Amino acid sequence: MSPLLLVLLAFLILTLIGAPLFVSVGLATVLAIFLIDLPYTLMAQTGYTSLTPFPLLTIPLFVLAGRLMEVGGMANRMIAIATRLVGAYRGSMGIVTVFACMLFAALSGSGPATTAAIGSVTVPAMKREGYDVPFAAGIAASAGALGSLIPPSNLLIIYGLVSETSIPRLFLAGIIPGILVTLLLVATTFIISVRRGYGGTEAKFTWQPFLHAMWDGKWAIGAPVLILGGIYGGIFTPTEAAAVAVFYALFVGLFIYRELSVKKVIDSLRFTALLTGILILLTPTLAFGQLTAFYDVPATIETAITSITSSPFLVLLLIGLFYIFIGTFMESIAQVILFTSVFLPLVTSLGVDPVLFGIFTVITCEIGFLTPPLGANLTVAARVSGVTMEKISVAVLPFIGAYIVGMVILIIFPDLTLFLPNWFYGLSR
Amino acid sequence: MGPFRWLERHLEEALCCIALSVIACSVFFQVVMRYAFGSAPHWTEEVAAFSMAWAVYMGAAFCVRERFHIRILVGASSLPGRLPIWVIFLADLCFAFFAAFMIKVGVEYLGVLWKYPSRTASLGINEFYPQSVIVIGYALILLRLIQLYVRWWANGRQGYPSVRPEDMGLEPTEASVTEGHL
Repeated sequence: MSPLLLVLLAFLILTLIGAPLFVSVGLATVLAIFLIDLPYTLMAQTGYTSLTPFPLLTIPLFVLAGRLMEVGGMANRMIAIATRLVGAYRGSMGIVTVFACMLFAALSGSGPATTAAIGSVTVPAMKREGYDVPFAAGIAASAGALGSLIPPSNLLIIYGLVSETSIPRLFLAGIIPGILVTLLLVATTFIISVRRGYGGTEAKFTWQPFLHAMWDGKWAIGAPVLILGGIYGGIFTPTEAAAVAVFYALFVGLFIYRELSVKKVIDSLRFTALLTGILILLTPTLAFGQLTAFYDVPATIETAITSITSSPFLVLLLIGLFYIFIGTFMESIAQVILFTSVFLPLVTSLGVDPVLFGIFTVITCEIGFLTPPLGANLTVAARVSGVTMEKISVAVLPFIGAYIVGMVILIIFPDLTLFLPNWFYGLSR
Repeated sequence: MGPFRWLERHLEEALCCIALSVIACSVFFQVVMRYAFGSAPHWTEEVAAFSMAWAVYMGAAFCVRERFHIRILVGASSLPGRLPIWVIFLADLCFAFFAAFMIKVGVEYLGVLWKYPSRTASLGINEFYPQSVIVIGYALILLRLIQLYVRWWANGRQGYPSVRPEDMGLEPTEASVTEGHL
């Protein structure tokens, strides 16, 4: 048996018996080092050095900032703005949910966090208007996934680190696809609501209340302006923007909205601590990455896949199906860390832009957020709505359809994704 | 609650939260200094990077305690009868072995750093001290894993020691519901 096959088998068996993922990767890497007789201290060395690149700090900082904004009252202001913006249509509360998620996604880098922040307010509101509850929860779950596509995005940061792609470029590239997916979700919500006759009793859209809500939510709207404006105005790096966002959230939450307390701040830190701990997965993965001279997984995959097809469209579709399948039982962050370096060399050799592949990866992860047994957004939506995950996972199917349509559109028209970053920064090569 | 009890309960999360605060403050300080005084100090990046490594390892030990690490459990939980628990035992045995292995390798590595000291670029600290987190981190991870088993045994072997009931398709217990996904 070839050494590479042995290492993969060890990884698979360990993963399937339920060892923590970082242990599976770690022990497989130890085996890989043993087979080629390198010193084990490589594990210890990368155990430290792989955690110290400056851009990595962006992740805990954005997680913390997003959490502080969520518990500090910004989510409610976003919902107020979205409510005044939409006005009276069939399914307007559902559409409000989608828009509010889109706005909140520009504060938060996380899909499940967006679902929690917006869904916990709008799902009960939809319930009161007679919406079918699993459908309402499905809207919140699927629109919440926008949190990972619209910048800032934690998954895009991880992708940028693993693939050595520029994070500001990735952030810009997420904007148009984010709006596209938002529109697809709005259309889906609207069609289903019309057929079932939900809502439509709210006040018609008028400028006055909308402007009033905008003014009331100016500090919340100010956050994305500060973060994205700062990054693209060349004022600070994404990491610095994340630190500024933390202090902005603290300032607004403590002194303007006064909804933050010391206890809430400490809870937000604890929440961030748990997610930071998960990043330990990076250490064995990057240690394995140093062995590519001996174990060239990308090249092996490349030979295997290009023997079937070499059309970039079909290859992306195959990878998409694989990602969606893996995403049903693997956390998206692990998915991005483990598979990016496996597939990226393959797709770039076929002429796919790494930025496009990043957006593509994140969209497939979002579908993973929405599929059981392991769908983070479904879990959160089940908790905020009080119905079971099984019921929501059926109600969410049309929205998964919308995501898949969006994914295919983005593969067919790469310029939708690449136009903004290329226009702003010039062509990458 | 005595100080020892408090540390037993909160040591890693407290250290992790402190490290995260240090990261936020030093990066923010860097921006402020650059714009207010036109020059950014060099040490902030280094301090933030040390703190990140510490935050991750302390967070990882905290995740063991909270049973929060990413595991793929569809396989184990779909096995019949008493098999799932034995499979989880086996997985945790591998986990413990890996942690012990990393402690051993970490000690060797730190030994080299101690013998041939090198200093960090801008603060001039001996690299040994920040990098000692590898051994400390894995030691805490191993201790927390053992603690989960001891608690589980003492509480009458209900459910699973190291994974959450809802991840194995059981009803969640009150204590196991903490949210958080990236």
